[in-house]
Amino acid sequence: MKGKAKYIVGLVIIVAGVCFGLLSLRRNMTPYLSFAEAEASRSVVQVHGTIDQASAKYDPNEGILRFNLTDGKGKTMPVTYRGVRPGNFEQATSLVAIGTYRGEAFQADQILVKCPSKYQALEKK
Amino acid sequence: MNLGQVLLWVSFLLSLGSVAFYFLAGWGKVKLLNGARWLFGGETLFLVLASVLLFSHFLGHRFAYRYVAEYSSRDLPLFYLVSAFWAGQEGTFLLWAAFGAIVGLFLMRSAREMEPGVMGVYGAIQAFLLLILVKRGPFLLLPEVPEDGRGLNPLLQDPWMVVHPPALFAGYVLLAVPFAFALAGLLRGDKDGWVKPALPWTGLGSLVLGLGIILGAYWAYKTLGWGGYWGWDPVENSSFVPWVVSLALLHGLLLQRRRGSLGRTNAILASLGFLLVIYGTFLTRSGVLADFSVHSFTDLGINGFLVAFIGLFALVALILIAWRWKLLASPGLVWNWKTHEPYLGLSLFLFLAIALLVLLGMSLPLLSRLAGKPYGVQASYYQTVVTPLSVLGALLLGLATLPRFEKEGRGVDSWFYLASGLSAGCGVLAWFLGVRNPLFLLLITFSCFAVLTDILGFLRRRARSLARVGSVVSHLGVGLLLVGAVTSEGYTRSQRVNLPLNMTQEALGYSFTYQGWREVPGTARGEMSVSVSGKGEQFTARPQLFYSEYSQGVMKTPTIRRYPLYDLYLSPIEHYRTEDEEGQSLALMKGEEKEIRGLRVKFLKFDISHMGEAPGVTVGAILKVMKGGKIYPVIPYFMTTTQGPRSEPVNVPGGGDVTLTKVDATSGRVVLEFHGLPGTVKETGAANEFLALEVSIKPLINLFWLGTTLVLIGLMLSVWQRFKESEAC
Repeated sequence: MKGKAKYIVGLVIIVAGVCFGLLSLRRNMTPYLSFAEAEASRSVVQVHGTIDQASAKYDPNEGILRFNLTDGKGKTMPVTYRGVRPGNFEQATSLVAIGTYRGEAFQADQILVKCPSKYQALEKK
Repeated sequence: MNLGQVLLWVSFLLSLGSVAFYFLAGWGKVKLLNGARWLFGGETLFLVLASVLLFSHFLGHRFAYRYVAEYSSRDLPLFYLVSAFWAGQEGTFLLWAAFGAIVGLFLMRSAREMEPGVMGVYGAIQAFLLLILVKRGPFLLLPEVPEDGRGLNPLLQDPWMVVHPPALFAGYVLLAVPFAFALAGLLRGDKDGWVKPALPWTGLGSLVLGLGIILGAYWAYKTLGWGGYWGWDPVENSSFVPWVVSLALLHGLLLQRRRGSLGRTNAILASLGFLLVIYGTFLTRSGVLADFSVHSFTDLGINGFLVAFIGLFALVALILIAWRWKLLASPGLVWNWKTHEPYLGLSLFLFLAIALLVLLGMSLPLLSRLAGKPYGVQASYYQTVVTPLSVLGALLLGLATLPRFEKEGRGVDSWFYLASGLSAGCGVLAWFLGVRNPLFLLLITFSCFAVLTDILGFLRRRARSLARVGSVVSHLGVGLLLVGAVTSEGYTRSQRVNLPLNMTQEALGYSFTYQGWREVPGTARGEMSVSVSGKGEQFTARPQLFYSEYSQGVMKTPTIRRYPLYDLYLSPIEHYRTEDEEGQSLALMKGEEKEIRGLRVKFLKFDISHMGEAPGVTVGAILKVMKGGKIYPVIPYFMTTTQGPRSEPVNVPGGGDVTLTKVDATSGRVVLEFHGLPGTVKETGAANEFLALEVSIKPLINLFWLGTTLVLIGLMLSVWQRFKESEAC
């Protein structure tokens, strides 16, 4: 290959690679949305809220967890999660759910549980 | 200020002195060189003393120290008291700096005439780590001394987790070495001189960091129970990206050493590798990812320092590279397929592409937050981008063996075509076995291509140096681990089974019977007995599910049954029990025989043959168990250790187990406790208790572990050889 052709081929490969990377990123990005935005969106999004522990119900036979999530503005959204219940769910206060709003509820594919800080007891002393 | 803080301060001041002296020595004041060495030695001494002091605080349960109170407790076994040292951020920074100082002592000798520049840059990195330790070290005192500490996270109470962090941080330390060499070379205006001494250090960095990453992956697989070993979590990525860059640098340096090419690329790669280590540290410890990661790290208030750390070193590297840009001009690569050059060059592209794409994904939360609306990335992103790049990588690995098959001027040896044909056959075989995803088919085919050409190429033209053997072994490992990764990640079959007590359920060719729950003696952990039979064998699986006070949550430990071709992975999901089913106790005098649930059990005598093997007392009870006309010897043991009495359950023929719970040597009496014996259910008990189990079959996962091990062994061989070479000159 002559000098110029080599650079052009190299450049094309790099541009193609970058485009491929960015496209994949776009497809797998999950924006953090408010409850209202999440309900309007049809793609995979993240929401953050406080768990209403009283509403939490787990069906051990089906392995489905249902609970209500409340945002800071008093809006509540039902969430269903199919899968293994996180070990510290009962103690959790707030939670990040990643999934899609479908029909009546937010169908979470993944939930990240946030626990009350374990250091608080020590800090207060 | 307490002793620990004083030690760190002194070490910090010595490090500043050492850096200043080294740079002055490099400037021409050669007389200061010895002083610089002594100052660095002093820095090392005080860091080691500080580490010893922290160890002694842990061993002495000095809970006045906040770090000790947060990560240990009185009941923690000695082994884990030691590892509590690096359970938190402050301790890991101390470990990092202490490792760095010790490695520096060796680097000092290995750098030879480049010592002032190399040690100046390396010492400046040490000074920064020490600055962080001075600002927020592990020696902070609590206003009030608690009675007991919080203890160590039970997940970290695992032998693999004891060695994983030290390996990781030793790897981070070693990645600073090529960076220091590169900058020292730039300072001196020496384009290629740093390559030879930096090469073995780079290899060692790749080896140790790789070991750390793989230990972490194995720990995740064995303990966490979610079934995988790699989740593309920011914490994993933050060590993966520098590792990939270090591999790129390793290949780039080989080219530069051979032909003097890639001067600019290697200077950039060496800088990038180290800067990414600090960037990863910042990303995972600053709390910016708090809403995006399963791991959580509290903000210690050192973000500013870390940002300054990256910013300063990046700026210096950038200025030096720009300054010497003309000097670094190197001959271009020769694109001749008969040499190793084109393949080495292309491998750099692939490594960099993987590193940058993963870096982009892991940085997205931070970048998008800076730009306005925060975004997260799903793990599927990484799979989407890394899979095609792995396909290209496997293909390249196979093609890279072409020089070995070259016949002088007469094309390619037919063995190469044989390997190509066989690997195509592997692809067809994979298709028949059910692999339909085209990318996966390609990946399997090309990986087989890489493996076969690697082996045949080696047989055809024996490698003369150990370093070459190392590369052959590593590349073989890459091919195998890619196949293992595809099959275990892409073709794992999973099924959830609900197991009411003593009812048998079938799943994936095995039948499972849940036989009961019990508390593991001496721990607060619950353990389930599940009798598993299938594929011509029968065994009792003991997965655990327990509540951890520390994590305030339910923890689980899976059971993994290994076969050559697959792993049977049993992960408990949920356990319900409304009524406590106690184990059945049986007290026996020496020579006495009693019956329990169709078993006749006779206590023959004590077994004291294991006395004195371990600290404490170990006594066994030799039992004669008769079942269905056959006689089986069963010997449960009882141990008194420093942590209290302990006994392990021993299987009983026909299912269930027996534990020796009490021993009275003078009267010759023992108390046995039986669990999970067949027929122990009360008629009404069946519905009261059930276990939900996730059963998975992970095909060829052992290829993954074998491959990773070979990669490390190969790296070890090359590093060994390169160190010997650099000492010879």
